[in-house]
Amino acid sequence: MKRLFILLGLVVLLLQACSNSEEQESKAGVEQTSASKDIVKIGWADSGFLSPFTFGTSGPIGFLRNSYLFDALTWKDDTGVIPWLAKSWEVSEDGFTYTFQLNEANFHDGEPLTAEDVAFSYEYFQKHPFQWNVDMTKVEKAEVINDYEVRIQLKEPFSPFITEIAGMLPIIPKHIWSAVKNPLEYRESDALIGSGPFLLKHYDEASGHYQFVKNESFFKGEVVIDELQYLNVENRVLSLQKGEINNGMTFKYDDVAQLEKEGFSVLKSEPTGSAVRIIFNLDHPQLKEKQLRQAIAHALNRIDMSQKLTGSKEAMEGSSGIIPPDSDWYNPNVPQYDYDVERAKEMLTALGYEEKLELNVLVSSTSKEAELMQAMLRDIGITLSIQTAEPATFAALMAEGNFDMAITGHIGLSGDPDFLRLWFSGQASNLYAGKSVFQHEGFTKLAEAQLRAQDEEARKKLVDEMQMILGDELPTLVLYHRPFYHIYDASVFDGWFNTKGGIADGIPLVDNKAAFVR
Amino acid sequence: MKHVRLRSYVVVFLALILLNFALPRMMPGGPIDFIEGQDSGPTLTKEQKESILAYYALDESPVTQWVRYMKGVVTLDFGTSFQYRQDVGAVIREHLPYTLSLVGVATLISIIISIVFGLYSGYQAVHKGDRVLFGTMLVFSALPEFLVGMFLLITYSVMLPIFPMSGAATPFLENASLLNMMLDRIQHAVLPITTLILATVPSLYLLMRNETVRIMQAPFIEFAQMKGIHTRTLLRKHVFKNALLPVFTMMMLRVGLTFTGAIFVETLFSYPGIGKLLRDAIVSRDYPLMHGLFFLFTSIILMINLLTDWIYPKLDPRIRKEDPM
Repeated sequence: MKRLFILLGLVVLLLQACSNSEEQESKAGVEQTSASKDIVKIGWADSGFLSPFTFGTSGPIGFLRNSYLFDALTWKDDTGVIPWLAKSWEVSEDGFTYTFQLNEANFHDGEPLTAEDVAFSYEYFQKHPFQWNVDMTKVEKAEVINDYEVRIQLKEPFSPFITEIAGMLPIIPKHIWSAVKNPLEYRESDALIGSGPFLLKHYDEASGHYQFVKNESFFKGEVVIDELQYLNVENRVLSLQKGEINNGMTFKYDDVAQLEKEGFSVLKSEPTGSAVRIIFNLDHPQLKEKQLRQAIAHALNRIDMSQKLTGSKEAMEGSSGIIPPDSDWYNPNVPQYDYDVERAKEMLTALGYEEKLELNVLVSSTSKEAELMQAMLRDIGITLSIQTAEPATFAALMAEGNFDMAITGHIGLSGDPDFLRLWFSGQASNLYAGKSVFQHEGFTKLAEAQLRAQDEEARKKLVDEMQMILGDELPTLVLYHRPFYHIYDASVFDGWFNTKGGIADGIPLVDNKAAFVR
Repeated sequence: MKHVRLRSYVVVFLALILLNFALPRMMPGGPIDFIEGQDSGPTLTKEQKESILAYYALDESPVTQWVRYMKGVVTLDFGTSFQYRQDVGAVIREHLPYTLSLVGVATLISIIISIVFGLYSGYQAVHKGDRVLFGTMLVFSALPEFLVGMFLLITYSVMLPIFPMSGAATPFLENASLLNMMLDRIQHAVLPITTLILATVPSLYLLMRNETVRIMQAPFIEFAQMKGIHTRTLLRKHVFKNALLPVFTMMMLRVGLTFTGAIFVETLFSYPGIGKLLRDAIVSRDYPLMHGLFFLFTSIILMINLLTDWIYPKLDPRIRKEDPM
């Protein structure tokens, strides 16, 4: 008995001893590393093995991490599209052919990156789809002109080609991948050999941490930090406070204010590029009436909602044309729906809803938006019930058309406006491509036409008209545009910037590799 | 007799294997729905979607899928995890050691604590009373483990930053000695293990205490006391031995429960064990990974029961006589 107590006592002592010695150790560790190495540590979840065929697609981080290892022909920074692997390019008059002149770059294993690799990548990704939003069905073929010149032929003109395909598709080494028959299963270390500014030194699979080290011979210039770590921490705000990470993203303004007081710097995503929206089931017996959708829009105090939910006075009310007001593609003439309860009631009466109307809203996690909506819609006599489902169930219910309204969050709204076509045409498989595709002949025609428009101004006009139709028909109602706040320790790294139109297809994060290249 | 029992194990095992195939597929939505149901996820083109379905063989008929699954069960090869895009066995092997060490250490310490405290408390209850210890344990037995875990996390990691908040080790510790790396791992495991211990100890303790109180009142103890046997010898040789049977059964049951309890604890502390893996597999509808993990859980729990059945008669000669196996 006594012996057991002594044993327990010893265990306790040992634990105490180790916690003390560990503290000293970690302090020493920090001093040592900060003196010799610049290490940026960002808090974000795991996204699997980072090969272009296997990275995780829960959110955009897998794509971004992949972009540290691999380069595309073009890229974006705070000024918009910039040359990257391609030094320059020309488009043929008919919009079918793009010719790229390449920079002299090397892969991480020292082999040169040539037109052969570019052509090979474009063909390889036609057979084996890329993980993230690149529609390779638009590409006919790629031809090598000489070592540093390549021509890409499209099946049809695709106006967003430079950002949505050339700006995203990674160029992979032909000498490695040409021998790989099944890229989804290929997990050798050379699957991560690209030409990008970083190499992946270590991936802790069990914990989901990544350790990138700089590419000493990056073609585009010097990489200004030695190491970039992504740590899969449970709570980014607490981890920032404890110094475990030095960059973390949050939606919550309260956290932002608190951490600013503690000396952290904050970068708000601009353009916001993100929206929280209601999707209406257009096959629903009542909601198929656009007047009802409009009445609901009038009944919701969206300014109040955005201020309450983001905690900030600056939050933006959702645009009914979906594209946020701070985007270059925004049409200011789109009809907006002011908060007007009387108007909403009149519209409901005109529709003949004397009796109480009962609707439900589907949400994928505890949604405060839905709770606020419930209270606001009660004022006009609509009883709203909230149905919560986890992601897979949520998507299944939507695909079956088994919902009245659903609330979702999206990013990418400040990027190329072609997403409007993808969302509503049902061509791309996404949340919107369930049974309730937006059937509108005029919209479909405009959506196809903007794809072919070669002249930016002509395209803008078409996109403006698309927004007008969306604003009037309201197949979806954007509640608010949600800003991302990046909180960081400026003493560690201060080069963060907002990418114009969002990284690649409009990702409103600061994890842009261009920030680390001088 | 032995055959009958073994046969019932086989039947249960087969039934579980069938359920293991059917249950994941009965959940609403599939792996593609999970990808599409993500906020800020990608927009899949039809081609991408088809290639995913074809790659994971989800476009095959349920029967073909079932045959493939059964082959997997026999060869212990459950295929490629959808989410990790890696062999299920490899994914589990990566995470299993973390859970085994958590559960192993927690179970061991729990058993020692509850037996020692239970014996002591039961003995005291008869003589002087043990209200404080008994009361404390009663309170703990009523607390759900997530509350205990959160309390520990907030107190010892956020307010008093003694222990790290999450993970199993400090990421990318370079130039650290082996000893320091070990200490780092121990430090990360303290809170999860404590939570599991606090969840396991009360029930075992209460049983041990009650058994002790019951046995202490038996005539043979009185006789032993009259013979003047030293208290410690009395507790160890007479009380403990007699209380062992029900406590042993309970202990074995708790090991199984601790495994499932680890799911919650690992999620709370972001500990990279199979509990957290299972949760992620369920959310993302990762069928192969679910098959592998459920198979593992089923096997562990059945093995423990089998072991209990086997050891029990060895502990109690009476059962041996009644049930000549």
